[in-house]
Amino acid sequence: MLNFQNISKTYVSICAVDDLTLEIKKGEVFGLLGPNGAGKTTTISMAVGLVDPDRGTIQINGEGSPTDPAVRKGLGVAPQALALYDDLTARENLLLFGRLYGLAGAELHNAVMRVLEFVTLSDRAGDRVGGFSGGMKRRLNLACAIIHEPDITLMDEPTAGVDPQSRNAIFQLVTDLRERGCTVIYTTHYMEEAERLCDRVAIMDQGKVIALDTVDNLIKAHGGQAELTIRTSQNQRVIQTDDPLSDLARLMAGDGSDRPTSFTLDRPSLESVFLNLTGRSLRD
Amino acid sequence: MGTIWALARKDLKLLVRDRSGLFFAVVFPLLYATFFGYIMSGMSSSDAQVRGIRVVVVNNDDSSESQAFVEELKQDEKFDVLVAQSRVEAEDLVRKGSRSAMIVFPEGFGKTLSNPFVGASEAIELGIDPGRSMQASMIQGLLMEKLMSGFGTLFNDSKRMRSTVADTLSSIQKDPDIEPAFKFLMVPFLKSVDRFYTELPNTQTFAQNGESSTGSSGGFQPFAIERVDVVRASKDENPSNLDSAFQITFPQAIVWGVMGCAASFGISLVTERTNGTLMRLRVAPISWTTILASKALACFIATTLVAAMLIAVGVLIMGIKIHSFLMLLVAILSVSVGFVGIMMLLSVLGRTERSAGGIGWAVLLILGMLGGAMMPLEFMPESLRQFASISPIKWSILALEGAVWRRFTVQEMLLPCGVLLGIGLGCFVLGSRIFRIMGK
Repeated sequence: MLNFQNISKTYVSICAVDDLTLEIKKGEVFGLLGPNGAGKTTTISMAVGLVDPDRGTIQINGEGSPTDPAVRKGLGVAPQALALYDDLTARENLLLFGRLYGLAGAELHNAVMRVLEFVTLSDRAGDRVGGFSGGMKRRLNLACAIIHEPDITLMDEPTAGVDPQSRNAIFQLVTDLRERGCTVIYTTHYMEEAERLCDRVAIMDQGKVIALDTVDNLIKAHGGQAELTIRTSQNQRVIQTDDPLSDLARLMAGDGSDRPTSFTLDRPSLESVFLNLTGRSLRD
Repeated sequence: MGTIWALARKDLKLLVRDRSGLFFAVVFPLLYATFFGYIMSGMSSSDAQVRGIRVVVVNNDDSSESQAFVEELKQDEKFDVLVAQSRVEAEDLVRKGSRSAMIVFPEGFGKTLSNPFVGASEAIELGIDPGRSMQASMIQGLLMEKLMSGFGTLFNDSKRMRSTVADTLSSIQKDPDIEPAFKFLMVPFLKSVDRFYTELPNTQTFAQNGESSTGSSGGFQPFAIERVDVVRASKDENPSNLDSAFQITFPQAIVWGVMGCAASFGISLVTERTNGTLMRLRVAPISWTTILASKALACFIATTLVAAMLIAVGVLIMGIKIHSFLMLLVAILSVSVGFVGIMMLLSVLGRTERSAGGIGWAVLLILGMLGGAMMPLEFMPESLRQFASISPIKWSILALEGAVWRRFTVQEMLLPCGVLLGIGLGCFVLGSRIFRIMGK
C-alpha cells in the first residue's frame, strides 16, 4: 500500500529521518510513535510529497511517488496544524477541499453532508470555523482530509490540544475509518492512543525506527514484566511476573498473614517498551 | 513586574530574530525619515522654494528680446525649459504628462518686453497639465515674477527709462490711429515720467530707498497671461474632457485601491503559509502553478473589480466623462496585471503576516511617493524625479489618465501599458520562484 524504502532526510546538519524502511498494509491503522523531534512529521511530509527525501524511494499503491499530484489523489492528510480557513464556514471549507480532489455537483454535496455527519458537525455546517472550539476544529480538520474517501489517511497528532471528549470522538472516527477499510497512518507521542487504536506500531527515535510490530508483540518483546503489588495485613510487596493472574490466584489460595487484602497491577505499556529500548522516557 | 519584563524580553528577542520585522521596526523608519528630509530640504532652500518645473516653451516672436527672455528662463533654476518648435508639439508633451506646462509667447512679445508703454502684446498662453492643476497658480506666479523682474531693471535704469519714454512719446504723437483721448492722457503722463527720471540722481538712490530691483511693479500689468486647457484646446470636437477634478482624482484613487488589493493578497499568501492551509493545498492533487495561478487570478479579479467599481461610481455619481472606455479597459487590465506581479513579490518579503504587511505597505508607499501618488513629481529633487520611472504607480496613473482625459492614442498607450505588463510578469516570475523555494 505505502512503501518507504531506505528513506533519509537531513535538514542542514540534523538528520531527521535515517534510512527508514517501512511497509504499511492496506486497511490497517499504523501508528508512528516517538517523542517530539523523532522524525514522525518529516516522515509524513515525505509520504504526502511535501518534502523530497535525500535518499530512498516512496511508493503508493505501486503507482509512483507522492510528489506526483495524480498519485496524491488517493491520500488524505489531517495535518497537525489546523489547516482550515477560519473565515469560511465548515461547509465552505469542505466544499473547497472536496473540489480540489475532483469532486463536483451532487457528488460533492453528498460528500460534504456525509463527512459533516461523520464528524458530528452537521448542525454547525453553516457556522464560521473561527468560532469553533479546538475539538470541533480537529474534527473538521479530519473531515477535510477524508471528504474524497482516500485509500490512505495520514493523521499527524490528531488529538493535540483537544479535550477528552473530543479525543474520544476522534478515536471513534479512526475506528470507523478502519471498519470502512481505510488505511490510517497515525502519528502521536501518546502511547495509550497507539495501544488503543493501532494494529501495528513503529517506534521512532532520532530519525530511526527502533521497533516495529503489533502492540502486544512489542510489549511482550520489550515491555518487561508486569508489576503485581500485593498488600497483606502485615506488609506490602511487589512481584515481577509474566502471568499476574496465575500469581494472584496462587496467593489468594493461601491462608494466614500472607493472604492479600488488596493488590494493584501495572502492566507493561508502549511507554515501558520505549524506556527499555532507549533508556529514557518518551516525555524526556 | 518580573513577569512583564520576561514577556517584554521575549518579544524583543523575537523581533531581533525576525529580520524582516527588524527591518520594518528600525531600517524603514530611517529610510522614511531620510527620504522626506531630502524632499523637504529641497523644497525649502533659501531663495527658491521650487526648482526645475518642467515647462515647454513656444516662442512665436522672432525678436532678440523674446529670445533673450527664453534664454533667461532657461537659466532660471526654478524652471526646466524645453523649447518646442510648434504649439502642437508643446501641447502633446503636456498632454502626455512629459511636461507640466506649456508657455506660448505671442508675436510682439519682445516689443512689449523692451517697451511696456507701447501697449501689451497678445496674451501669453499658459497651458497646464490638468493633472498638475495644483501647481497652476504657482507656475503663473513664477512666470509673472520673471516677466516683471525685467521691468524692475528697466525702471531702475534712468538713462534707459528716459530713452524708452522718449521713443514712446514720439510714436504716440505720430500715430494717427491712436484715440485723441488716449493721447490726451498719455502725453502729459509720459512727460511727467521723463521729468521724474531727469530729476532722479541715480539708480543707486532708488534702490537704497528700499525698492527691490526685482520686486512687484504695483498695478502696472503690461502682460496678460491666459490659461488654456491643453487637452480641450487641441481637440475641439469633443469638449467634454476634464470637466471636473474627479477625472484626475479617480485614476489616482484606483491606483490606491489596487495597491490595497495587492498588499492584502500578498499578506494572505503569507497567512496561508503560516496557518498551514498552504500545506493542505500542496498535498492536494494540484501543482504549485495551480496554487499560485489561482492566487494571481483572485488578485487580478479583485483589482479589476475595484477599478471597475471606482470608475462606475465616478461615471454614474460624479459624472466623469471617459475619453475611451476601450482604452480604459486596457489600462485597468494592465494595471491589474502589474499589481498581481507586485503582490507575488510582496508575499515573499516577510516570513510572518505582520512583517509581510509592514514591509509590503512600506514598499508600496515608497513606490507611491516615487510615482507621484503623494506629491507632484515637480516638488521632488531632480535626482529623485529620475527614479519615478521605476515606480509602477507612475505608469498606472499615466495609463489611466491617458484613457480618461489625456486622450492618448493607441500608440501612446503602448508605453505605460507595456511597462505595467512587463513589471507584472517579471515580478510574478521572480516572486513565485522565491515563494516556491521558501515553501520547500
